[in-house]
Amino acid sequence: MTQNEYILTLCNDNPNAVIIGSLGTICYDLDRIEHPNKILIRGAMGSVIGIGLGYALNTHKQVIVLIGEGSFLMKMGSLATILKYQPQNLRVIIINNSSFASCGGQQNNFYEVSRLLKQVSNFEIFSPTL
Amino acid sequence: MKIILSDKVLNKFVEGEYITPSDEGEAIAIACGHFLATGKRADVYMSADGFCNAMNFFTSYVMPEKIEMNLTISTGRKESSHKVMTDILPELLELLNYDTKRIYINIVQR
Repeated sequence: MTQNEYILTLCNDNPNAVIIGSLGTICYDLDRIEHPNKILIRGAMGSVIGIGLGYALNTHKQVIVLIGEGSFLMKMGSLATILKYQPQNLRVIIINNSSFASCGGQQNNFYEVSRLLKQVSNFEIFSPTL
Repeated sequence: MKIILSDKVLNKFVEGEYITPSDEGEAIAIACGHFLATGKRADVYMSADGFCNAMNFFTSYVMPEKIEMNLTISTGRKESSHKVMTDILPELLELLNYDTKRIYINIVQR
């Protein structure tokens, strides 16, 4: 499944959720999809996890954060904050293409932490086909 | 909602009344999420050199997206690592030219 198809399915399956998308290709895809509660974060790599956490702690709605693995690596400290507060209405979906796709496609080091994340209930990893 | 990364104010609050983030950028981000969910301002506390950590989120999201928050920045610690930001913070904030109606920044001296 491609990233675009995955985000489209996610939006269709969760019409009442607040969907917050991180910058880069996630924002480009989310921008083209109709959804009543979508928020596009067009700057500040990694900020989307904190924004999702701040949102989830102040609402009863389901909050779904879509973030690239490169952005996640930049603010991995947010993982610790989520582990502490563990909001049950927050899902963080890391879309893993193993590179900084919007700025040259350089490889990053996400693989090294991906196994650890399987133990955290708020986090999911999706690896799209190209 | 209070988000605290400064020892200056910690003794004024009881644990459980505030959020402790991992860094100043995340503190700003949580305040953004609070504003998007409620339309109300969060209170964020950080030190002056920590504000450098928050600069990316501040200039790339808070300012262009017109987010509102109250920010308290403490200055004046004696360590050399705090001196540069203590000296330039007022000029830096002026240069940032942020919307003072949306973002209230209070500088407190130790």
